[in-house]
Amino acid sequence: MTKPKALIITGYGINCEEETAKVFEMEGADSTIVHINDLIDGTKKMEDFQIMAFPGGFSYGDDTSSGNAMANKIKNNLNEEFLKFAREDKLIIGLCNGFQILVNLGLVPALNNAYGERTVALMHNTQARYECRWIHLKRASNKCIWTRDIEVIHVPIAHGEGNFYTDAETLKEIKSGDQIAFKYVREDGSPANNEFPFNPNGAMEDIAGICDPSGRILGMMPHPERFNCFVNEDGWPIQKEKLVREGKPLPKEGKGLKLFRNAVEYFTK
Amino acid sequence: MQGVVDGVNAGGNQSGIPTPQGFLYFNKGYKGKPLIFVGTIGLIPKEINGKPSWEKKAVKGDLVVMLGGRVGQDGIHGATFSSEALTAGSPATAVQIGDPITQKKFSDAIVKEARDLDLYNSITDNGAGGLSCSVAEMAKECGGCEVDLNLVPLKYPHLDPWKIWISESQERMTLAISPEKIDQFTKLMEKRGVESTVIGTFTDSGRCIVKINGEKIMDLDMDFLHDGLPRKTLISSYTREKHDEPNFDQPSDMTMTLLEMLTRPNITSFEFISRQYDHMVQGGAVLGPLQGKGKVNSVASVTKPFMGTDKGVICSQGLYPTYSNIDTYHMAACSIDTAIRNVIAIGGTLDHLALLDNFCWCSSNDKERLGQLKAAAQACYDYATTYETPYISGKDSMFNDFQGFDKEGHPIKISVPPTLLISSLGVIKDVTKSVSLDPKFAGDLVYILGETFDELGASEYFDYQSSPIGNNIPKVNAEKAIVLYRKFEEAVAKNLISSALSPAHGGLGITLAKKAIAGELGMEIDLSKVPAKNINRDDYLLFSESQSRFVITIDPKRKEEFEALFNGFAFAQIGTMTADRDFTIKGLSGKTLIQTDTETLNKYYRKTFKDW
Repeated sequence: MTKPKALIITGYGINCEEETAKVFEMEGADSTIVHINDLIDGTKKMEDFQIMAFPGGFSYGDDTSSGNAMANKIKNNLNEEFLKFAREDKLIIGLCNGFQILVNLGLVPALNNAYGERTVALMHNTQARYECRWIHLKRASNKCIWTRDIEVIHVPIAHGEGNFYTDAETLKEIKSGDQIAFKYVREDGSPANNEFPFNPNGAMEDIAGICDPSGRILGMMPHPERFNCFVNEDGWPIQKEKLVREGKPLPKEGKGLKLFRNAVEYFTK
Repeated sequence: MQGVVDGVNAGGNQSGIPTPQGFLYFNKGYKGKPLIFVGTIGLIPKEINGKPSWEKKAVKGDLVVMLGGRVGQDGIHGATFSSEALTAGSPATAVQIGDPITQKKFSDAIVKEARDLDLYNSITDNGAGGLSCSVAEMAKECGGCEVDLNLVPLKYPHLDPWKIWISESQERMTLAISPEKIDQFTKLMEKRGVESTVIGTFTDSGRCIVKINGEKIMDLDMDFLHDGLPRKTLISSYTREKHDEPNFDQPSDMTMTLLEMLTRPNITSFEFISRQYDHMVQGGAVLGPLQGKGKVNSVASVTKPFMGTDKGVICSQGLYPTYSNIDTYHMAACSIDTAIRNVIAIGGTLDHLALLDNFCWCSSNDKERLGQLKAAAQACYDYATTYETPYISGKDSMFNDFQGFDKEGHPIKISVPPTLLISSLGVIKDVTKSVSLDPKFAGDLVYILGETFDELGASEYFDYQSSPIGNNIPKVNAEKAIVLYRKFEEAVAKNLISSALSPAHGGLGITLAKKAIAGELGMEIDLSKVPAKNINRDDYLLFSESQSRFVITIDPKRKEEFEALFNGFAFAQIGTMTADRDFTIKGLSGKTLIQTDTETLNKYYRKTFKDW
């Protein structure tokens, strides 16, 4: 079986491209980190790839609100190519700053397949502060390819602008289209109900991630790529101690890899 | 302080570099000129294109290229400013204005592309002294240079030539690039949105020449430029002052004493800062700034820079400025021992451990201050050679004094206490062996390793009591400590140590409280079990800052194995972790000395910065 090819976009302050490329490789994809300008001048071609990832970071320093300037650069130079990729049977993920870019590009939620139309926003966190911590997510959508077989997952967040917001009508459509991919929850899986720190940014309805109508395109604030091995997880030493005392081996893998495995398996299974 | 937090937030977070750990330290001496230490650690392949990666050499004919940001008024005299007393005449423009994304763009282009394409022969960043230093330093590699200041890109026109030459505007690199490669280099930088400009040529003329508008404005002999400064002779002396010894009785309410000690700014939680720094970017977080269920600030961190290997990097620090008031030699020794044993406590090894020294002194034209400096430097030498831990980097700043006026308009001078930050950097072969500070389960046994002495001079506790600082500063017996640290490494390798934290500011009492908070468990402690010498007071035993000690917890099933391993060492089981969350310490008399619970400890631990 040929490995699916993953296009990992970088440039202008994106900074999570290496770990994002690596987690796709760990799960069997063939990753290439590509500077956005190499797509613009045609050095690299999007059509050669099946998966596209917008990693986290600070594109353009978040200076004109997060994800906005990078989205404008793409719209002004590569709009047709991106919309074509989005409509094909391919996968796109945007993590943190990547989610902010996807939102500004209008690739999520893309209600009624209106790819390119911006309908939601990621505002400043309600506590008006950058926040780095571990939170729990619960899968909410049945159609999202990236979140298959995940119920509740522990992952880190690190952002200043993750407060999901939209108007009532759009929210209704996102819900009726089963496009809420992840919601912030408490450890036991019960709703965060907008309570800090379970919902770390004040996002409407505890929304942590949304997908497009097909479930192929996912944007989310948390960083599953940062939970790539057992020792990444907050609280791993107590789990280790328990396993050592029971004479059991330690797991190696981080549970965040599941999303990337789902993406690879979409093409290989 | 918020400005500092914002600065690290912008610089660290936007650069995509994890900030796994740090600390706050308060002292009235820092009111005039606060000190901020920020360090970065990078990784470099041993070889690049078959050549040793650290070798660089500008050659005659190479072009002088400036890369990144432009030159402006900011950062004129930045380096001299930071080494001078702050006065009413200090220039506001000395501070550089940062723009992390400009740096991120060129560092990606250099490290991830140009470097491996072998596009440059030498590279130096524009830090202190700007172009005047970076170009002149690189010119030493080939024997000369000629720069045309007209070519230097400016933030705005009409900057004086001398300002262009010395401005420390940030986010700039100087490179030496062979004329054959300049087109390829320039094209690559253009593609990455990075400004790069040829501003001159490296020569072998033996001279450093600077021109503007065709006119030569500087022409100096390279030898004079680099070695022309005559060596300054300074006289030092060191009179160790005898301080009054404290004269207060042990407080009747030791519970409240412990709780109030937890609120001290040098001991309290600063979680609100740790949360604002991205400590997980790059996907290699192992043990970060907040540990255990109770999220206690850690003094050491473990980061795994590469996915797919189990190797990790450990960082920690040691700093005891108040000790300088008693003896800078022992101050330095304590800082070194603390930085080292924090690495040992989290699972590191003396085999792969390096140090960094950052001196921030005051009034360094005063011979007594110089004497204190000499003593500290002597300790740095003595202890590093004993521990066999090399210094791999460091920096100094000698005039951290403020001269201004108080609110009545009277002249005032505020000097920092002689401050030495020792940072430690270790490698751990298997990160799954690293040890967090939080006790894991009820029933686990609490041990102390190492001896406690009457060493409360200039301690947090004496300051809390507003007492004289005393004279009994902690002293470090490195030979003895090494044997203990080696044994500790053995125990870690056997997964015997299930949590570890080493007493420092606030001593054993604070360490025990932090452990209970971190584990969200109760704790029963008997102080009479603590191996100690010359201490007959509970409060002294609790708050002595004696070095080279660990407080650890272990699985009760492994008690025999553990005690056999440490046979012959000064150590003792001093208590047990409990499920009920009661925190009880029995004093030397056998009576209950401290009676509280983990929730209350936690409340006080977080009280100081609660609303920040």
